[in-house]
Amino acid sequence: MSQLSYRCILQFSLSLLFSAGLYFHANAGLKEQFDKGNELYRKGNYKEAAAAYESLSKEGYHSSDLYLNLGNAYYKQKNFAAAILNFEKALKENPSDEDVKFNLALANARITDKIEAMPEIFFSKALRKVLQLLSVNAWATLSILFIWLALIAAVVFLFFSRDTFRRMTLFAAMICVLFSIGFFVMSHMRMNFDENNRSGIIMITSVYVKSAPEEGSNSLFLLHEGTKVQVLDNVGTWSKIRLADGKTGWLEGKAYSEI
Amino acid sequence: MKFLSNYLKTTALAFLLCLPAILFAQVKFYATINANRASMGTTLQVNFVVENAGGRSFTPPAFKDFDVVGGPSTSQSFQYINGSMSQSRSWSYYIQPKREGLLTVEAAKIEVDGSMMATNELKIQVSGGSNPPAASNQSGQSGASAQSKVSPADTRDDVFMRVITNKTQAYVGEPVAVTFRLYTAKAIFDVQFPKAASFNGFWKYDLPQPQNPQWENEVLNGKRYKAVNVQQVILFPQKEGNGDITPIEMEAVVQEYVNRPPRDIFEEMFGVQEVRNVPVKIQSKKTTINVLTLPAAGRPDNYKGLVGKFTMEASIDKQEGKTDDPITLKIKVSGSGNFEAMENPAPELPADLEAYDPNIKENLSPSNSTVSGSKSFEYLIIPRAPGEYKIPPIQLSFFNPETKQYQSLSSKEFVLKITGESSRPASAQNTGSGKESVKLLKEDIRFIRMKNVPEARSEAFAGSTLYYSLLGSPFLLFLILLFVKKQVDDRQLDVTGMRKRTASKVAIKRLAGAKVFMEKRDRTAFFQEVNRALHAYLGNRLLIDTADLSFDHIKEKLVEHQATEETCKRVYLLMEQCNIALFSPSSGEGEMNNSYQEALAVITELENTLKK
Repeated sequence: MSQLSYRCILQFSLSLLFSAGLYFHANAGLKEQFDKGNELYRKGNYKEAAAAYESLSKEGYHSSDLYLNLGNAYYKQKNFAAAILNFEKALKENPSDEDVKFNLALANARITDKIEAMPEIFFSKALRKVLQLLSVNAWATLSILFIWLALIAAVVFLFFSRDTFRRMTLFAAMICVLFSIGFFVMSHMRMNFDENNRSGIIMITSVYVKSAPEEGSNSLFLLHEGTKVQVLDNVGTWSKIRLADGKTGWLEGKAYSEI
Repeated sequence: MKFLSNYLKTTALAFLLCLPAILFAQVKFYATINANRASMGTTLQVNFVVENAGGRSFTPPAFKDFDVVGGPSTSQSFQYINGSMSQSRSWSYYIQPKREGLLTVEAAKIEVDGSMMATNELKIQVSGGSNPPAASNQSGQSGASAQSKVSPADTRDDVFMRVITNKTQAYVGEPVAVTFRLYTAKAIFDVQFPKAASFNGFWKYDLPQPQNPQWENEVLNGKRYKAVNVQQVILFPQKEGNGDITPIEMEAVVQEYVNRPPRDIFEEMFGVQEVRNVPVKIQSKKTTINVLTLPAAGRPDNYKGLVGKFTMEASIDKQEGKTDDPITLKIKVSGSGNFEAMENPAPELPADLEAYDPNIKENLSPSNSTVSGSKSFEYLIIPRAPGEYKIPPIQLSFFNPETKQYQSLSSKEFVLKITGESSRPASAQNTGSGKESVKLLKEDIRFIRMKNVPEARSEAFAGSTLYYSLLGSPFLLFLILLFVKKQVDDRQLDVTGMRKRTASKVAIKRLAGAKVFMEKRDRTAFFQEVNRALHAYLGNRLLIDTADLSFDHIKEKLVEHQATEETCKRVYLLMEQCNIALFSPSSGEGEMNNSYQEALAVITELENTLKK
């Protein structure tokens, strides 16, 4: 093996070690804080529980569980907009989390705006579901795993020359390369999907959606807190948004929090 | 009383009733007309009556100045009074004047008992549009018998109604004050004030009718009348063009002094006058208002047909409230004009503000020939969801006929801050998932999860240098491995090189074997081995197949490799020696040793030669 690949592997394993070290280093305070939040929640002190979870989130920790718990704490305080925001964040971490889906549906039932979602085209829905199976990093890791598998198969093919075995390894190497390319594409598609599907939750009691990014333009419709909007574009402090039913308009960025 | 309307029949009847009770029937032939003053376009009825005679060959007049529009219709009547019989026969014509001025209906002629009789001529004053009453009604009626008729034309001049408007042209929606005023020069009683009439093409505002109408003295065209306002209305034209104020009709009884036909000789000498109560129908003249279209220039988009002068106030009783707590929005429009055309100034309310139909209060009164006052609209607004709402300014625009310009009014914008909980039932909003929503509202959220501690946010791995190097390095490695493999393969696959390289090794191995045979004194085996060593060396080194190992071929190759003639000869001699030795039995001990040394020397020499 060449010098370069040795170095790469070394680097990779070093970084793994490093992050693991960080993880274990921070774990003590982190677990304490998380448990504290959980304890407060169980005692019914939702406000302080939310504060505890929120501090973890601010420090950069994340997981669907953390967002679920934070959302629950807000839900119990009847702050449905913040609850929805955190449930949506949890879903972003794990799009197939049943608990989060259920709680999100409950929170959505309690907000003012009821927006009928446009039916999704079958193909795009299927693609979205597949893309959301794994995160960008997971797709990327898979693509790396498979390219290395392909390399191993190739080495076997080159240096071990028993006839039937050779042919099998050649076939395996090709399959692995194809899979790796596939996962690489998936990782990029997922990245694009995340970039194009920035969404936000309206966090102020009500806001008029305007026809243009300026205060004086016509009001198109009224949105209330808790409504999910898709963010399409940004001009200055204004954002172009689209509702689930297809209506679009402009509103000031401070009106919503991005998921 | 069908006096006027059924004149034809009653003329004869009235005439007969009034006949003097004389035994000797007097033959009369005369003409009557129902009006001696007329305006252009009115239809007049002319009767030619012959009494107490049959009459033959009636010749109507030429009607030079008139158009005959109807007739002649004839009627005949017989009557016995006190044993004397009277009869009459009449011809009626309906005529219309052709021109203005004093017109004449010429005499009609008839033959009675062989002699010709002629009627009187009738004079008719024809005027243009309306006919103002003249001071006198005496002109026209001439001829002895004509005076005996109770002419309805008499009342027309003495009792009439005028339509007084304050303007002759108006914009659509601009008020026009109309007064119907009754004039009478005769004693009049039993006046039946007309009921409120409706006017086609106008919206009407009735002015209150006084309980006891005051008769006033008024001089019109030099004649003294008593006058009273019969009806006063304010009309708002609804459509452009000529707006006809439809005539109104009323009934009254007029006291008249009638010259009765004399019954006897004394009466004939002094004349008789009778007081008669004549019921009359009085009709107003048709009056036309020229209704102008509202100018298109400068017309606001939200213009709804309001004409006049208005001001608007809008107020809200509170700016902050709770959900389900009603808020009152009051819009009050004051001024003068066509309030009836005012639509409810519906404020544009956000969807979460529920508003009911407004409570409308009107306080209108007539003034200065228009309607003024105020109209207020009270909207009860119920906020259904919390939030900050804006009620956009309420707009009202109107046309001011005085300045002939449009004006717009606008209230200020109202901002409502609503707190509290949304009271709107979720099911009301979307019917599809309504039931589901209601069901969801009853449930509680799932509990928190406590097992998995959150992770630190990892840096983006995909797209990082590490990622690309990990992704790219297998390809690079593969290339390197491919190169290594090629090197190995090259060496393995290079058979010729191998043969060349191993040629001397093989030969020396064989010579070593030969040496063993030499020590064992096995002569045949020794020479065989030397021969083989030589052949193997030459075959490998010169790449000659064993089958081609003839000396000629070997020599050819050796020359190719620049071997000297001498070397070739040495090789030949050695090969010959080996061949001969194989088949000749003995030639001493030194022979084998010599051959062995020679073979070594030859191979060494060839090796040196061929390497060059």
